[in-house]
Amino acid sequence: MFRVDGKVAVVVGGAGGIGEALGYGLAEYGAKVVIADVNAEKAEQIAQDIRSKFKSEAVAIKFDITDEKSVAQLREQVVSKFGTIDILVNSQGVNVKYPATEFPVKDWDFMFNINVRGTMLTCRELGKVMIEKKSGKVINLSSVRGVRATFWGGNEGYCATKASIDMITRSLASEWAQYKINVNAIGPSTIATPFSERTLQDPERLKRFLASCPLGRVGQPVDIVGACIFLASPASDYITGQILYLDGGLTAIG
Amino acid sequence: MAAELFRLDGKVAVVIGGAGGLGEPIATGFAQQGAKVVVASRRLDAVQAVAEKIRKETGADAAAFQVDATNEQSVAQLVEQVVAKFGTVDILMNAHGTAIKRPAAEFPLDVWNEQFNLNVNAVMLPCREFGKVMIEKQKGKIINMSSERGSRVTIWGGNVGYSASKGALEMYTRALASEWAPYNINVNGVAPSIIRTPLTESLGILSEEHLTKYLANCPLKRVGEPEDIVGVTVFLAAPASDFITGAIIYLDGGVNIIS
Repeated sequence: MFRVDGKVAVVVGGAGGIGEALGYGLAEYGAKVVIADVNAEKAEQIAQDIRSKFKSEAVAIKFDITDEKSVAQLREQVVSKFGTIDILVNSQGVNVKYPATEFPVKDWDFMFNINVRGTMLTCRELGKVMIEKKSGKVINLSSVRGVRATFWGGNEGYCATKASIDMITRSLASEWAQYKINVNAIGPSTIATPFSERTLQDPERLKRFLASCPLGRVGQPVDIVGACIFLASPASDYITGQILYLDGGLTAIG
Repeated sequence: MAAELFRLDGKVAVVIGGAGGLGEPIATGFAQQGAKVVVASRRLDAVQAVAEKIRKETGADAAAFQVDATNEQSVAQLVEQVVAKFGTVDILMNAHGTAIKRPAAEFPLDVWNEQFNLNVNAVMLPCREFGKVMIEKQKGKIINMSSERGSRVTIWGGNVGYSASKGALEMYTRALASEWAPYNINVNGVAPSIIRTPLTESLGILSEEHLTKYLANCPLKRVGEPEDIVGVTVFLAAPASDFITGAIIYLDGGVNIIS
C-alpha cells in the first residue's frame, strides 16, 4: 500500500535539497518522476542519476513557476511524455529575511510569488489533469513556520507564506475531495540542506533550535521522504487537508 | 535505504485491543510488514483467534495474551509475558477504547469514571509499563488511538465524556512524547472520525440518519474502512516516521478542515 508503481510524479523544485530527496524516494517506490525546476542543469543531473539507479523513467523539465504560461506548458510536457499526472509535490521555496521595519516590498512579493502563488499555479494547472481522471495526490511543502514563529526575527514573510500554503492545502482538499484528489502538506522544521545553512552554521541559532526540538536534532532530507511517500500512496487515501509535522516534536511543546 | 522505510522486520509489536475492529487489521498490517505481533485483550479466546489467523495469513510469529489494561498487575504481567516470549518490545499500539454517550445534564459519575478508566487509564498503564522496556533500550514507538472527537466535538449531543476522555488522551500523548524524546521513543496518536467496525455499528453510528449528517461534513464523502487504519499505523510504527513525535494524525476524509 506504500508503493506508487507506474504513477507519474511531478516534483516542483526537484533540484532543491528536499525536492531532490523526494524525487529519489518516489522513484524508489516505483514512480516515473519529473524533476521540474528552473535550474535545468541540476534537474537533468538528478533525472539521469535516477534513471541509472532505479532503471526507471525520469525526466527533467525546465520551467518558470512565476510564469502562468510556463506552468501550463509544464503540464503539457508531462502529459505528452507520460500520458498523465498522478502526484504533484510542491517542494519549491525561498526565504528572504528582513527586519519587519525594513521589509522591502520587492522581496516580500518575490517570496509570495514563488512560495504561495507558485503553489496555487502548479495546483491549478496540473490539478486539471487529476480532476479529469478523478484521482490524484497533491503534497505541498509547508513548514513549522506556518504555525510557529522563530525566536529570532526576520521571518515575517516566510512564516506568512507558509501559513498561506496551509490554507491553500485545506481549501483545495475540500474543493477537490469530490474528484478523489487528496491534498496534504508536510511541515518540516529545520532540515539539513543548503536552504538552512544560515541556521545550521550560527551556533546561537542552532542551540536555540535544538532546545526547541524534543528529539534534539535537525532533520535530514531522508526524514521527509517517508512522509511524502505515505501521502503519495494508497496508504493515505482517507487522509486529506492535513499538515504532517516532521519536526522532532517541536510543534507539540511550548 | 528508502526501501526499508515502512518495514517492521524483526520488531516486536504489541497491539492492545488486538481483537477489535481497528486492532485486528492493525495487528495484521504490522505482521505483513515483518513484525512479530502480540495481540492482547480482556477476551483471551478472541485474541487467540486473531493470532492464529495472523499466523496462517502472513506466516508471521504471533502470540495472544489476556490483559485488563485498567489493572496495574495485569499490565505488568503482560509486559513480562511479552518479554519472556519475544525478548523485547519495540512498538506499542493502544487500539482499545470505548464510547459511551449520555446527555450532559444526566451523566452518571460511574459511567464517566468507567469511560476515563477505559480510554485514559487503560492507555497510561501500558505506556508506563512497556515504556520501561523502551527507555532501557533507548528506542521505541508508541501509537495511541484517539478520535476526531478528541479535538472536534459532534453537533449531536451525548459526547461530553467521550470527547473529554479523548482530549485527555491526546494531551497525555503529547506530554509523553516530550518526556520520552531523550530516549528516542516516538509517541503519536491517530484520530479517526468514523471507521466501519463492530463498535460503530453497535452504536448506531452507521445508521442512514446518522451517516447523512456525518457525510454532509466529510469532504471525501465516505466513512473509513478498516483498511484505512493500516497505512497510518504502520507509518507511525516504522522508520518512515522517525522524526515525527507528539503528533495526532487525523484519519477522517477531511472532516477537521472544514466548517
